Amino acid sequence: MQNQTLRVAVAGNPNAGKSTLFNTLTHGREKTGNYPGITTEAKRGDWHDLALFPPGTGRVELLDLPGAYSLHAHSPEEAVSYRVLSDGAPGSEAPQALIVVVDVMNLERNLFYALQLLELGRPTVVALSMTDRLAAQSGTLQFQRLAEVLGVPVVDARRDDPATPKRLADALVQALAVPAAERRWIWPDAQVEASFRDLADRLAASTASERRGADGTLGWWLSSQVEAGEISPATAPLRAELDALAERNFAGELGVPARDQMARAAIEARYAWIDRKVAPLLELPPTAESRSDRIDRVVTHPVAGPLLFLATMGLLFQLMFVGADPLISRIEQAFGAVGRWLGGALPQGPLNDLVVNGIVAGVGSVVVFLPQIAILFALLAFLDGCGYLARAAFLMDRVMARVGLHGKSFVPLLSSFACAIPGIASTRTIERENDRFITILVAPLMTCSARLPVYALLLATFFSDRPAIGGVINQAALGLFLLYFLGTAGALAMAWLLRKTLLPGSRPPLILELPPYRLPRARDVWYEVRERCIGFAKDAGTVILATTILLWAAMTYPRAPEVEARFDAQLAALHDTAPADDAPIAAVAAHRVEVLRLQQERHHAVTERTVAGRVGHFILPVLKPLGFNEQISIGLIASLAAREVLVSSLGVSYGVGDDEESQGLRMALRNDPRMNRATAISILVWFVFAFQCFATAGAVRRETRSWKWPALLVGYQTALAWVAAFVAYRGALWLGLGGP
Amino acid sequence: MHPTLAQLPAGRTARVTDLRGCAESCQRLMEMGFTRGTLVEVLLRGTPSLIRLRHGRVTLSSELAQAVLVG
Repeated sequence: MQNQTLRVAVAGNPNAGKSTLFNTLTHGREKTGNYPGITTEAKRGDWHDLALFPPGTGRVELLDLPGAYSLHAHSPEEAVSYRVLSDGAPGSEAPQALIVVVDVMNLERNLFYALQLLELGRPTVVALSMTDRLAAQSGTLQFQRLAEVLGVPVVDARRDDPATPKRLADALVQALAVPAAERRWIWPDAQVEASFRDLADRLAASTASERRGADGTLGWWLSSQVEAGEISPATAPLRAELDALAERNFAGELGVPARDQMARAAIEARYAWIDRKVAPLLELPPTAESRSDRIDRVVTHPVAGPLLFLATMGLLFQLMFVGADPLISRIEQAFGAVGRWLGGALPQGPLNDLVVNGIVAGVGSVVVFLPQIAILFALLAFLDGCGYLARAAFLMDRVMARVGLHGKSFVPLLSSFACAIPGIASTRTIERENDRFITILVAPLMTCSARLPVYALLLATFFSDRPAIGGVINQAALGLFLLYFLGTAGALAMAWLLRKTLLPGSRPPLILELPPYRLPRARDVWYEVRERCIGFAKDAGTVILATTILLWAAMTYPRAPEVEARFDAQLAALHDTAPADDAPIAAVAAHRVEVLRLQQERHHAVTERTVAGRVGHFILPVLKPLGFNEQISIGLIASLAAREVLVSSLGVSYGVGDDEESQGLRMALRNDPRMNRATAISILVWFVFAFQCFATAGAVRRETRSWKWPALLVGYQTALAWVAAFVAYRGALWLGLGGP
Repeated sequence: MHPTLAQLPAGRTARVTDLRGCAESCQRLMEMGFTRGTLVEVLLRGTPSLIRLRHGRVTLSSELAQAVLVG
């Protein structure tokens, strides 16, 4: 019995307080920093305080299952729970015991899922959350009686009580001590038992799996299979029997197939059982109106609700941009300094170049995202913990319905304003595949933080000195708003188009629970943010870093030493003829301009011969109608690593400073006769729609399990970007914006 | 013919009598607590509507509200 590992799954309805309990027990230390949703794994962590368990317990591994309403999975997220419970998480066996979190304020509906889990026949503890709230509303629950009725230990697991882990551990030990033969699952009523028992016996005889027969999981397995409407191939011959059984017992009602009737009977039997056995144990004085009801009257109000929603979103964006800005420039400065230091410290040569322009720049372009991602997810975790996100989905459902999506697509699209990758991951709560795929395919059109440096540079360069409209709104600020609007409108329009063509379907039905309002704990918000940031760095980070290094190579090789030598000789000669410090200012300036021109020419000549230069040259004819020049064309290729690379790549192209604050780059762009406001608009519109992020394609591939959808994403984004940029460019020229 | 949940005015309480015409969604509705005999209260009528049942609040799009017969 030395160092035995105990695997315990934590399951429950969404909003039941499952993750809070998981965080309390593990002290927020997860073993895998997996992106929630992207991998099909449940979150894993070790129970922090092992002293609560008998000696010899080496580890207690907790699996935090995604929230579910039923074992019959309606969404991919629920399917994870189903799979982990029956087969275990990948690389691990099925959990030996269960903690089912039940929100005592929502007892009946939470117990439905709890009953299904009890049917599993594994050692189980019911952990009651929100008991503090019950006490606050002068409600009472007969714990002891509930434990007797359910046949498993029932524990008060209130959030802020330091004794909660001990109570849970004791109950787990107690539940594990019950021999398998004495565990029973609850047959909710005689009719269900009569219907299933006969078939259960046959199944037990005919299926080889000892797991299903021995420990009483057969009842669960059978009923869940019936509810899921599927029978595994091994038991396919029994399908006919199951149908016959259904026909015998449930046929002849309102044209609903007998199998569905049987599934419904199982659901109703459970609720009837709950109403009969459990409901009388709960005493909840009918308050005239709860606090949540009062808040909801404002939040869901037809007029006040949307206004409050807009104000919340406005505040969210304000905090995201204003809060992240100083951090972003600090990070950029730090990576610049590290790059310069390494560039000086390492011997000159390809290695130096790789380290400075490939690796340091690549890591920098990943880290630079983190402030916005951290702030957005802190705010989202807070709003979610409060219960507001569910209301936001409720309010947005009407808007989303217009384009064939439903309210649940709102949060993924909102997340995509920081980065499409976590946005795509959070589509897992959407039930129907077509609805989910549409959301995944349009999420990359939402303006993510990576596009901002490009927007900032071009808007500042070409629009900031223009007179404000009506003396109030700065043209650059208005431009930024329009770009965000364009991206969002594009996403909604594409959703509509996809719904009409490739991914048809009726308007998705929305069933969404609005949980009671509750202030989230700071540490739960912090764990969520940390998990998101680590997940992003691991997941998107590796792809971005790899592409940055690859593109660095494409921008550097093949080299042309003779060209470099020729220019270097010219530059050296020019250096020798530099005017003295006390020479007339005009002479110094003229010399400086000459040096810059030569440096630029050297850069063009060298880049032209590299892989990226050749590809840029090759695709230039396609991009010419959009007003793009060769530097931009090469910059677009470079920006495939990460969009903000366009800025530094243009900076290098023009042989000037390489950040968007750089006055030198703005001057160089403004002085380039091929650049004007029309080309700037064209580039901006291109960046709104174009596919520019391999990490996103990777996320789409993982979520859709096919290369078809990422290929479609790349295709439609490129086509859309070209058409939109063309229209914008021609329109701008027509408006007379093509001049200086 | 029983009225549907979509036809109930806000503030009205009724009991679920049956679910019809929603196949997969009907099962989810039942799992969320809309079983026959359950007391439901319309808090907000519209698309989507807001329903109180079994101590919780659930929002339903109008197609689903129409699938819930009440009496």
